[in-house]
Amino acid sequence: MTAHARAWGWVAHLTSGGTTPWADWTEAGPAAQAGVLPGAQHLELLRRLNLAGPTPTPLVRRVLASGAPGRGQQELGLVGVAETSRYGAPPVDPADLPDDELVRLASGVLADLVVSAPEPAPPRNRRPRLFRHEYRLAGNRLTADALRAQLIRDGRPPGGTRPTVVMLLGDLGAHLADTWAARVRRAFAPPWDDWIHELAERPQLPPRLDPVARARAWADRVSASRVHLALAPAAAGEALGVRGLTGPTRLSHAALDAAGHTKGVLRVLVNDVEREQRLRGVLLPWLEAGDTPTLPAPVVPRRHRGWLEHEARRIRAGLADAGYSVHGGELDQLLPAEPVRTAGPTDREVLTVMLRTLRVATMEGQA
Amino acid sequence: MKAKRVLLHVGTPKTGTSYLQDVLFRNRRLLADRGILYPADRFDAHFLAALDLMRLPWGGLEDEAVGAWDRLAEEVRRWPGTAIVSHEILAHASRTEIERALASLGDAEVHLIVSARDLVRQIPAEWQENVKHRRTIGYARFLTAIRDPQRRSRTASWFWAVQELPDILDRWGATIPPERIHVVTVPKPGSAPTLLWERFARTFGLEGIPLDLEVERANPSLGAPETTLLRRINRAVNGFVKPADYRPLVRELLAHQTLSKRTNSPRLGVPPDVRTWATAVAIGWVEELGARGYDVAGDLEDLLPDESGAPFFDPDHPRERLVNNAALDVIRALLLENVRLRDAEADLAGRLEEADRALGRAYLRPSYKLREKAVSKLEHGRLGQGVLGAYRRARGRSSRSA
Repeated sequence: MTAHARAWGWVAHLTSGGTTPWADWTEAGPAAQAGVLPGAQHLELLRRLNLAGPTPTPLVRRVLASGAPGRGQQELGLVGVAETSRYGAPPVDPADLPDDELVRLASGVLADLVVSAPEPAPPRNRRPRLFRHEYRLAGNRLTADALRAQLIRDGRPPGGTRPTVVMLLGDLGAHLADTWAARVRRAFAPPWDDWIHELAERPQLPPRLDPVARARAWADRVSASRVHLALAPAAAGEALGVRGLTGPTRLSHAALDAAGHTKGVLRVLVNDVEREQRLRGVLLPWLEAGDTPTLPAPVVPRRHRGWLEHEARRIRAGLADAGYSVHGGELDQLLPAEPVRTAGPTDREVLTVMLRTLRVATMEGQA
Repeated sequence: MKAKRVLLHVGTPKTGTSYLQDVLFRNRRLLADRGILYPADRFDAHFLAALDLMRLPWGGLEDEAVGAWDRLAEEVRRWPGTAIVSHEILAHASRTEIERALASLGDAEVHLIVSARDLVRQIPAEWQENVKHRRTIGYARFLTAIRDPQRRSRTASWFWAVQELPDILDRWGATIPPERIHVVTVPKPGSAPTLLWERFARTFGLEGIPLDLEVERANPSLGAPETTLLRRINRAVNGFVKPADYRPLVRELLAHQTLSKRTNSPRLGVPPDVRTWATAVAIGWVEELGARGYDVAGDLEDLLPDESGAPFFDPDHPRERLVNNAALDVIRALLLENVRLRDAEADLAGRLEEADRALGRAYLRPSYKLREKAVSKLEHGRLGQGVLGAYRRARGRSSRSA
């Protein structure tokens, strides 16, 4: 048996749902094949997908045909097969490939699926009610976006000349994580570590993110009596006289990083308008379904915990002094809880989310 | 009838490609009259097409690259004569991307062109390109990364993908007969300045065409202390200067327009051990390329590094006086740019003031005063607010207060 016959045998094994690692594979393929062997990255990604059950044929084809986007290793040869070439990167045992290389390839496949998915349907909103509460939502942007979407669907668009302003607040660490997550969901966002580090370098939060400054700005516009602080989504409903509001679906830090990688590829595939539509209407719902519930949201790194606690106390004092109405708890809830874990996600965790998301996309008939 | 041909120039970086592409772009109408298509509506059209083909992020420029390869390929397919596609980062393309690229060019006879320079000159040039793209990697770390046999880092994988000549030609030339593969060698230092252009002109079939060879764009090199300074600037500003600002301010104003003018400072080179290693690699490449039977414009011997008598200036441990002198030039350039911007600001302020005065005269008209009074009165009563609200709703959202 030649090395090439063994390699093609492994390709056939993987394309029919096999999970045996290359190092353990010993059989030849069903027949000699023409053409170039797929790259080690492609084959290993397929094997990892198969670990959760045979990969559907359309997804297999897409994985094998997809180029890995961005900078990194090109298609690598299989150790034991590709030694004949004196040039190019040395061949590898696919099991030794770093996870970030597989993440790179997976982001390309996922971006292709997002682009080829049917155009997302626009949200179905009820016609605006004739008599409705004038309101504005501020504070936690992720929660505000989710609540605003529910209210608009219910015929209650924001606005008005003298609105009730509901400022959504909570544990400052989670508040900042949600702010960053909302940026990831909308458009460009720097990596979490860079973003939070840049904030922590400042003496205090910039006005656009500082609840004290935001509340004061609204109070100047509509009077302090119209500014309400809500410490839970239901409390926002209470301030607005609306029932049944629920908070946003939060993605894990790993899923948000997966979104970031895939968005990077989408930038080259579709224009910015379509990218935003597909991000919201296709990729994020897939990631929500493919996310691993046990993985944590972004957490402020340990080196910035002192800054975070200091800021939380300053904000609590500033809001308490201003005397705004508080709903759904006490301002002490702004103080950050001790996180279970302070390190960001590993490449393995990001890859796990991506593999699950690729399956979700396939199950929805998109592959 | 002449055969339909595509001349596909895929690298390598730092081999006079910017000059060639600028000449082709500026003369594209003349070339079209002679039956040669250089399909570009902007000078960087082929760069964007390459980003699109390889899905490469490039500091936000990739936003402008959506669909660029397919548009380029369509123009090439429609052209009945010779078409030229040229960008050096195409050397990075993977087999999958190359398959897609070649398939998209239709049934034309494809000629593959690779321009090449000796590895000892390419190594520092690649590091400098890294620094000019806002990276902060030190020279010693860069040299260690590219000598890793596994090529695990992104630095190494990029370097070899765009510099390893036999591999580039293996990837791009897998389905192209050797007689249609052309290697243009960059002449050794001290050769006639026009020699490289003559080699390009012969390979691209441009001889005898009265081209305007004055260029607007080039990718000039920096000296060792200037590159050190740029790396330090990157470290200082990377956190807050966005890519869209970095390109005009740092890469263009500071690197290309200011630091590259300092031609008397020591040039970047390689330390002796790296020179020995790179020379051995280059000898292997020259033997390999010679055996493959490609068409060579120039001489494969050009790819063998010369013995250098010049001392090595370590950009990681520079003479600070030289870096400081370069920094003074940078400060001067920034001050001059600031003066220009202040003049522009003063000019704009003058125009704004004039517009403001014109607006003020419009406000003084009696009808405006009446409307303003009416709105002011209505805003103070509850009934008035309702009337105003109804009016604004009827007028549409855009007429509401911000």
